Amino acid sequence: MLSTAIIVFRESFEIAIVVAILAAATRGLRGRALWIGAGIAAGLVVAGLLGFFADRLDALLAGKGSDLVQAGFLAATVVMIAWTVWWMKKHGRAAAGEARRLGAAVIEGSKPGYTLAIAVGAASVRDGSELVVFLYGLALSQELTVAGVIAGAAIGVAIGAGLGALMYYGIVKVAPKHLFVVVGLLLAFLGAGMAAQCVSLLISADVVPAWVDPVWDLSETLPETGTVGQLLRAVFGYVSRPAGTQLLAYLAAFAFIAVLALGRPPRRSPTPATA
Amino acid sequence: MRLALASTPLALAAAPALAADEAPFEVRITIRDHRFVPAEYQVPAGRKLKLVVRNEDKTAEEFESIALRKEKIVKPGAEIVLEVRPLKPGRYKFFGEYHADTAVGYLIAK
Repeated sequence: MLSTAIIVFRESFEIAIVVAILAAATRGLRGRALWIGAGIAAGLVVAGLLGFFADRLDALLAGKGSDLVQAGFLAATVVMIAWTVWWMKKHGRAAAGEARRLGAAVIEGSKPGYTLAIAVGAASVRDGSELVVFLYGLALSQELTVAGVIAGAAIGVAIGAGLGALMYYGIVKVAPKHLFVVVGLLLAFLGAGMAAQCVSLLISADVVPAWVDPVWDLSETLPETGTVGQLLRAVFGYVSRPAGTQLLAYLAAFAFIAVLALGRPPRRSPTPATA
Repeated sequence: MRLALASTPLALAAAPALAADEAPFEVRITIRDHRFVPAEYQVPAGRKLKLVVRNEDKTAEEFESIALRKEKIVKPGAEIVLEVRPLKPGRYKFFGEYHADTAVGYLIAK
């Protein structure tokens, strides 16, 4: 049961980090808990489908089907994250929660809500598919009773969600003056990590060249599977053996999102960039 | 006789092209009792590989390798086929994410 809890924790932790950061970024959005919940639910359903039909997908595209679909989801998530940053920037003070203090209307509207749901959902697909297949297989194999699987999974999710919540409150407690910068940078790292993962899948599917491979190799000293490595991977998108094109994608995504976050806000926002 | 002599240079010219298109080197690995059998596999460097991983256990395993850039679930009783791009000489570690303490193996490219 412990090993189940650990594996479930690892995957749900990654989802929890994404949710925490996006939740912090969209504080001014009404009903965002619902959007986030819907996103996770939809993401897990898609993830389950992906996991179960992975072999059929693979057969469809010369063994690369599931890799390409995953790469597609990751690319979509990067775009969604960039959009969320742009939205955050545009709504200036309202997004930082000052709307209530100023008596201004809380941001409503389904467009940012959909984007949030899609971003969370797409991110859930990344880790969800492994999780769903693993749990289903475990329950079927009778190595563990169904109750044992549920218990282990519940523990794993609880700890993952708990750490995510900790992260959320940690981000939000940062003075509103710096909130933009902190959340913007975190989202930039998140997007960069996903872009790198997307390119890794494309290299594996032979769609994209690797160029220099690897640019560096820290897989012995700081493996992505170790405790520190996992944390670095979930928050900063750390890769122990990046290929040249992967690094390029990482830097490009980071620069793009960071500039969106830290640059001048879109014309309609009433606040100056350094509010 | 003349035909044989005439076709020899043609055959020689075709040889390098054949080498480039040669079939991928097949590697067969089995997952048994949460271990890889064999745990070490010698492969030729610079040649495309076809990695066939068969899971004889009753639970799923996730075949993962940072070095080979592969991450794929192998359902119990099922087999997955992975294409690996030509490798430079070296040791390439792979592991089963769900049983990482026992399921570890290496591809040794020479």
